[in-house]
Amino acid sequence: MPKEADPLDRAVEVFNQLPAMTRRPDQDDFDALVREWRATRGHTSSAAKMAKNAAYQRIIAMGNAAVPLILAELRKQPDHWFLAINAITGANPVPPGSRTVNEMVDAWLTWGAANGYIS
Amino acid sequence: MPINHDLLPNLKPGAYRIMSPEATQYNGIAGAAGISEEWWDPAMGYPWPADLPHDVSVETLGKVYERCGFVVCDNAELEHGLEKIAIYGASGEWEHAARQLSSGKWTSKMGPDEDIEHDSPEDLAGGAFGLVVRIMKRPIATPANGNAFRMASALIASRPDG
Repeated sequence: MPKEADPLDRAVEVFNQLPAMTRRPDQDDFDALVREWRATRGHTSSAAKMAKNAAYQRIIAMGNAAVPLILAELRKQPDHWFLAINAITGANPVPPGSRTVNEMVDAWLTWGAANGYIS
Repeated sequence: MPINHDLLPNLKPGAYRIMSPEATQYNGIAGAAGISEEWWDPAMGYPWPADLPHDVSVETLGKVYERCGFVVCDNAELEHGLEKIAIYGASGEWEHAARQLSSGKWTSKMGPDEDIEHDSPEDLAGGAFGLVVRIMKRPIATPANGNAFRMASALIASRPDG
């Protein structure tokens, strides 16, 4: 008689079949990628070049579920996460005439709250 | 992040000075124009001239600086009454920009990292920033023209849709 599948194994199997966008990324994994990005992005003055960094790309690959983590990180320490959130969501809430990084951060946090990503 | 000497092999430890701590608020491109509150970048959402291409070409960046009062010149020597900048790049694309101080030394905002003072443009050449591909100059800001330069610098960087 065949052995019945362990429910936990089955759950892990189902989880692994889920598209990345539906999973909630692990905070520790996210934090590790943030640290890796900051340590390896070099001294570039180009946001697009920063976004090509492998750790940054892995965060983008986490999909929609990473957006709350990115916005929380943005709130904690303003940095160049705008291209990542845009790549994931397609949004561009920065109003015309914004000039500073803080203005861009504020626009994204307001957008995040309005869209239920953060409170 | 501390300066990564592997990326900048000509920048010897001890041959430069940290002038300000890391800051994500402005970059080397704005810093070369004397702006320390904005991150000038052709990427989406960042300040960049509306009527210039949104690319990272040296040609376009040269036009940005022209609007700040700079013109192309042929040397990086200290000249009385002039402020010079150096654009670094490779394959026609910019990677960095530095500005000469009245002392003759140079200042570089290292992307999102520290602002450093170094002896010459060549200190940052030969690595991740590529080579010095263009030197530009403008009159040093005075009480008479300083505000005009600053306003010009601010105005060039309007959002494309702003």
